[in-house]
Amino acid sequence: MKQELDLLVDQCLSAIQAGEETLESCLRAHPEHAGEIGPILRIAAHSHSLLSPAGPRPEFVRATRTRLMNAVMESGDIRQKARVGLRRVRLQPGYALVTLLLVIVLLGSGVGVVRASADSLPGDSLYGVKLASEQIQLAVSFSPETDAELLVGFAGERLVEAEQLVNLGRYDDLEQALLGLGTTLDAIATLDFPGDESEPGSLTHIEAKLEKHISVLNRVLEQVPENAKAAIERAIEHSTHSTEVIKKVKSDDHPSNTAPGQLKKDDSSDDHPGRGNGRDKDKPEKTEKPK
Amino acid sequence: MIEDVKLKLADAQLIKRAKRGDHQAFGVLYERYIDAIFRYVRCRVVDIQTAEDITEAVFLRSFEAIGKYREKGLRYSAYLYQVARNLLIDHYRRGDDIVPIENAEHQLVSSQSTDGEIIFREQSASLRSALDRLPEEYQEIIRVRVLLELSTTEAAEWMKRSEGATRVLLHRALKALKREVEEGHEAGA
Repeated sequence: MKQELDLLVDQCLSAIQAGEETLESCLRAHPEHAGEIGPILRIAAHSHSLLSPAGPRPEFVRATRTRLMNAVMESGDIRQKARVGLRRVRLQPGYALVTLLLVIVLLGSGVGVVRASADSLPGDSLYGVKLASEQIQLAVSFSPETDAELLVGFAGERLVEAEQLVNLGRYDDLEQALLGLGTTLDAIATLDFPGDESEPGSLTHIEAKLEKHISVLNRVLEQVPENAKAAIERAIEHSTHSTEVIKKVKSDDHPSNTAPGQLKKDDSSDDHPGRGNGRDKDKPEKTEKPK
Repeated sequence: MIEDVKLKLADAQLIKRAKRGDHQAFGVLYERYIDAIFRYVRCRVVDIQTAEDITEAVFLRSFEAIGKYREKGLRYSAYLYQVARNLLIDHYRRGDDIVPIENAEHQLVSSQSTDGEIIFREQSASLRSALDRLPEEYQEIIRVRVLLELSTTEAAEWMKRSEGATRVLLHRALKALKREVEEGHEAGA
């Protein structure tokens, strides 16, 4: 009996939270227990309506995401892993063998599949082949300049995909293209940039490409429905931040603690390195309730 | 159940990718759990900026330690929750930044109209006070299962209990809260 009531309270609460039932309909469905579970469910509903906290501010979510990505890269561990990951295919015998086999497959019957995958979009069955072929191109690249050029090209491809998905109304798949864009931009930021500014993979070249990307994203933003705008805005912020990173690398500054939409923090006046959250330093001490 | 299994697999795969240095995997994990973790911290910390700082620290610590993370078939949120709890314990231990509960409640109702605000503030303060008088595990199950609306399965994972034990705990906690609210009203009458 006791276990039955535990289960009933839990089931009713779940159904109410899922919007499948109301408190009253739950009680009507279980009249024999209504007297016991009614007050319990009412206090739960009362607690939720009075004490349930709101979600995080969107600008906090965006800024923190950027700071976290920067911090993770800055930690060196991930940055090193990312670089090793990029090079691993050509350095380790196992990966070299896999690459060789893939090249053989591509030269044979696989060529058609890879060609067909070139026009695929996130959500398509051949999209994985397209991404794999990009990784192979990176694996067989032998210079940072070529890496940079390839990655900038892949970022552009993600943008083209995003535009096509918008045109097709496939907003559910849009996030994947934009996440791919973010990853590619992160990878660009880990590269050792070529010193020669006339090279295709140079900072100036990448900066120009990124600025073009931002204008494309702004164009896409105008075309998508409200529910897809947040993902585009995040991508714009990511691209803008990457552009700032490139500019700062060009000027020999250190970019990692600067989040989109934020002033670069002054290390001399902040007790929390890496937490440049743009808040007013002159505001009174924070206060809170003890738990 | 199938959806739950998929979710677990997806977390495990993302963690594998994150360990290999895939930034996108970190981003997906962050997007997936930022809302639940922030709201949990916010349940326990009234000041929004402090809650944001602690939430950010939760993800930063977790991501930096991802190489040591051992997959146990649970959602990654259960691990994030443990990190959040540890950070909150550290935070309370420092014992600084105390605000009277009236001011704390005031922060929660800034969007209410004046009359509604007063009623809302009084009711919230009374209910929060009743909640605070409950044993810690009762408070916790009410936070995660009622305020955050986690499923029984996820709440059980967070609290390291079986689903059956979680249901029992929830029922007892809500009964105790109801009793506290009634006794609070009687004492105030």
